Amino acid sequence: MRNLTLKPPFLLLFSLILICLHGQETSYADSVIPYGNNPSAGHYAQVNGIKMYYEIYGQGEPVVCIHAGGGSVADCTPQIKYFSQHYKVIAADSRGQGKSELNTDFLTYRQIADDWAELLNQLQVDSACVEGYSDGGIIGLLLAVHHPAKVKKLAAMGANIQSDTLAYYPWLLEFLEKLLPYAETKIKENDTTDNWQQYEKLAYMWKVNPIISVEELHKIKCPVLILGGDRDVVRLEHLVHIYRNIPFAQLCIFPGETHFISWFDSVLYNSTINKFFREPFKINDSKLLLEKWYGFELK
Amino acid sequence: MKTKILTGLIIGLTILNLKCSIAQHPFNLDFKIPYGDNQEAGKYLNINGINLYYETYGKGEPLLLIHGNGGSIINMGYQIEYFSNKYKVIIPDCRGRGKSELNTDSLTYEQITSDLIMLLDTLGIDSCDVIGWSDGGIIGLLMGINHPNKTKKIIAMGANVWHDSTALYPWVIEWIKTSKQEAAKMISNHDTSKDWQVIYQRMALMNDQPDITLTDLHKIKSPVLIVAGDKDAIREEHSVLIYQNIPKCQLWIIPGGTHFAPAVQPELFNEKVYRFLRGPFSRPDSRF
Repeated sequence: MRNLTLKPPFLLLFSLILICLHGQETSYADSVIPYGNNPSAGHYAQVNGIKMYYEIYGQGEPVVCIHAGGGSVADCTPQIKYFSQHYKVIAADSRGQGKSELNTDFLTYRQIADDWAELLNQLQVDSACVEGYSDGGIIGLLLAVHHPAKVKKLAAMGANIQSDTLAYYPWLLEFLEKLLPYAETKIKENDTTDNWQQYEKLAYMWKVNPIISVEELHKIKCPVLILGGDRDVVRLEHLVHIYRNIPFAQLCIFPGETHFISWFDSVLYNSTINKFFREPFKINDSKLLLEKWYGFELK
Repeated sequence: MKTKILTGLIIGLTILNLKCSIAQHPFNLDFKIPYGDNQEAGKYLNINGINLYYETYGKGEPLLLIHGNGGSIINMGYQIEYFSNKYKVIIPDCRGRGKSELNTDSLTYEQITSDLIMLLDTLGIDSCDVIGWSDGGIIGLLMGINHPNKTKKIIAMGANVWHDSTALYPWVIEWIKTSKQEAAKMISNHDTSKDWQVIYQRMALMNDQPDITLTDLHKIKSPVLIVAGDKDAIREEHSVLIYQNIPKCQLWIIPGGTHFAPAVQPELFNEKVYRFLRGPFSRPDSRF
């Protein structure tokens, strides 16, 4: 048996458990609404063979919030609070997470993205602005690739399109390597301290997925904002790579921020995305400005 | 007859004028204070064989502003306006630009850096914060590398540490090369319509320099904020590389931003930069 150095074991990648624990006092204290577990806003939809849980808040143009892997609607609390003031916010638990059923042997991002598209169909949402965080960002990209009509604009934070050394830092890959056998061991031991079945499915998905090609990114029609912290879990080179391969994209790297900015500096995160959703999209090119300055066209 | 010639001349000049007016600053540089030409704030200093012109504004901790290659003091008017309420702002015309003399046939970033270090020494400034834009960012980084005691915090906007196609976009390289050739031609034709000597030196500077290594960047002790637009003249990958090789560094890539962000988005730029200058430097990590 390999000596596992996962400590503490419940601290999972992309799971915001840690942040929830930390942020609980400050973030939930002023929030009387139990986002993610709110009977007055929560519903189930029958989607692609599962019951998918979702909550709706506010009125206006639709904004979709997609949580990180291993999370739930509750992780979108700072975003729901902010965006529901001006938009109709639709937040849901992705397949196999939160209150949504799993009903599959292998979770894939594609499947989860298809679930979201079907949920939007059933809610009669033709197209929406999508905010996706971490795994949610990946799902957002897949929605834009495979369900282009559904996505008006996409803000994808800390997302990756592959799960190798080009996308991740070594420490993260090492962690992912250990996660799957660790969860499997816990299941064998009948350990019930955590939802190991769920983590087993997620760990497998994180290990082998996502596999999104640049050709797929080229197909994206909607404007996309790629976001990351300058100390993200995703390599900055990889974020630039994703940005480069989407036809209508902007790139935002936050200085002095981590993968967890949506909680730790939610004001900056939300307002940056809101600006992107609100304002007409344009690519401002240094070349055009220099041409204007000098009064001639550059090659 | 004379009237006809005069009329023709006026029409001709008007057309010429219209043609010239096509070239314009892509951003508004109208300020109440005549930055760059302000007798109340401007002084000359004779150093390194040139008269170096600089202006100072405000009171407080010293803050050095360094303009870009084709610019002069006025290009950083928005930064002077904003920071002079908070700092003692020192801003020179770099060698060959604005009111500062060139007096060299081989302009280098190291030479400009040396000019600015002598300026700070003369003003009795032990160390200061630095905001450099484009070439000014390169000079800011060189100050941090070669004069580590002189810099407190450095903000380098749209800076590159070398000058090949891994650092600059092809259109930038092409523009620099063509402009350098044009200046050389004009000099050999004895054309005096512009100061081609200065233009040649400026373009040669960008064409052949800088040659800062990653090992050089490792030497920087000051906290640095690397800034770039997401459609900068500098490749975003290059800005990432610079960021990764400075020990205490943060990276800000501005969505929808360009190489000209300090003048096009001055509020956003100034506020973020001030936040970096004022706050304690931290480098939180996602690693758990």
